[in-house]
Amino acid sequence: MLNSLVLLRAMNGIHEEDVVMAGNIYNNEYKANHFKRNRIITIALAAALILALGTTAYAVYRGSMNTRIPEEGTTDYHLLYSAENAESPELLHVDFDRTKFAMSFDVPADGCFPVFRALYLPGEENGWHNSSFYEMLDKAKYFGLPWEMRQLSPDQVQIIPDETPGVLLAEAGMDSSTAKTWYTDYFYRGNNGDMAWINLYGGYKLHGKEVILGAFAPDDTKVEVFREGSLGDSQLIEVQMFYPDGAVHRHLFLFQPEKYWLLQISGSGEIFDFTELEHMAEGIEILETELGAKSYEDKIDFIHADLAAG
Amino acid sequence: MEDEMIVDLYWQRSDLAISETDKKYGRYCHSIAYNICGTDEDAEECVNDTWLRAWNLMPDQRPAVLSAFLGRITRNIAINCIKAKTRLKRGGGEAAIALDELEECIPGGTEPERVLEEKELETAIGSFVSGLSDAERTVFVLRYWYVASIDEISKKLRFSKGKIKSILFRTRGKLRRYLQEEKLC
Repeated sequence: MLNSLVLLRAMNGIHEEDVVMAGNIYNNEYKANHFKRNRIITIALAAALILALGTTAYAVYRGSMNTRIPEEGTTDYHLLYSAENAESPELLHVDFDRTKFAMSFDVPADGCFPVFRALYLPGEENGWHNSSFYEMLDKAKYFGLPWEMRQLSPDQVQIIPDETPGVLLAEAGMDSSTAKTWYTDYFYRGNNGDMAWINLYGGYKLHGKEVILGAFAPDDTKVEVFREGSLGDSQLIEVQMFYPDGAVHRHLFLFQPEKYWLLQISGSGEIFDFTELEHMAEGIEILETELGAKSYEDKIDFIHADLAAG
Repeated sequence: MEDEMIVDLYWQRSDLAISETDKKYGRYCHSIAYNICGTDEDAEECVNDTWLRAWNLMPDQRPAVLSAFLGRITRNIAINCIKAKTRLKRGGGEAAIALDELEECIPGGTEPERVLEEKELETAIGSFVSGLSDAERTVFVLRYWYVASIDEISKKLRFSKGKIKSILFRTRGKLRRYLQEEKLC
């Protein structure tokens, strides 16, 4: 106990600015108000986004979930990440060089709701264990989305309280015990103290392919599979999570196991219903690309330099 | 009243200094002390001692950030309080739980105070915390500087309790490794 007491006292070494930053949240209700304000902004943004999508939804819908190979030389290499701006949504375009897919989507300025997340699906050819995904996540740090990831065995997951593995999978009618490997990821965005999400992912065999699904369920959280079906060419699972404090989060998982990708779109139940999440999913364009690892790195370096200059 | 004006009052040895400090930072310091001590009475005593200590320190000191300055004094007094009353395990407030958690950062139960001076440890922890991501840093500071409960942090950040615990679990692991790498324990 003496040891930890010394450590507790040694926390006095934490720099003043770090103490003040946390203190602003702790004492001034800054965070709660900030989130409330952001929610209002998010509603407005979501409305604007849905309206904008509405004009193109049908056209996009027909092709959005289909993969297509861009013509040589016209591959969209851009990766845009505008500075945090409450007035307009950000466009985040991420290319996945190993899977040859790119996703382009709007991200609300507050970075909280909805959360768009592209997941790499492990398979026989592109597994987690070849480290490519780790490297990719590491690159993501360059455009302000710092990731951390570590591999956990199921036993290790057990010792983390509340990270009940497999709840979502089990509720989805799947046998979580067959999940071979678990991962946690931290998806943070630090501007103005905003933070988004941790999720736990498990490897899972589905229709003969190894896929991953988010499965983060704190104690006393009820998980309900709202719908299983399809959207475009993709398989779909819609899940509602009911938290003890009354909050409801909705998650839409869209995936094509044979293509090795999965997309999760999440939103606060207070703001987004599944119809809206589906509209957003329809507006996401998923492209096959010809990007190789080298061009990917070059591009990231370019963006990094651009951001630094900005 | 602006912090600078409050500090001026201390330097002028004005009686208003303490009342203005109490008005602005009374609740803040009380919450820190309460988190550590676990009782209102002890917390109140710690806060009063804080004002006295601040009165004795200013002048000569002129803190750049008054809240952090006062908070640090309160922490020290409160930690001394629970140490003196040896109520760490039972009835020691949120600090007892936080202390249990921090124990895992010290490999093999080594006594860090035997290996290096507390000041060195403070410096190392300051650097470690600065290197964390915003989220980790915020959660870590709330938990181990303000000694806020998991519930409180969860509500303030609108994160689930599981998420907070997970962040703390990982960050403590990092701290442990960091201290080992730096040969601080």
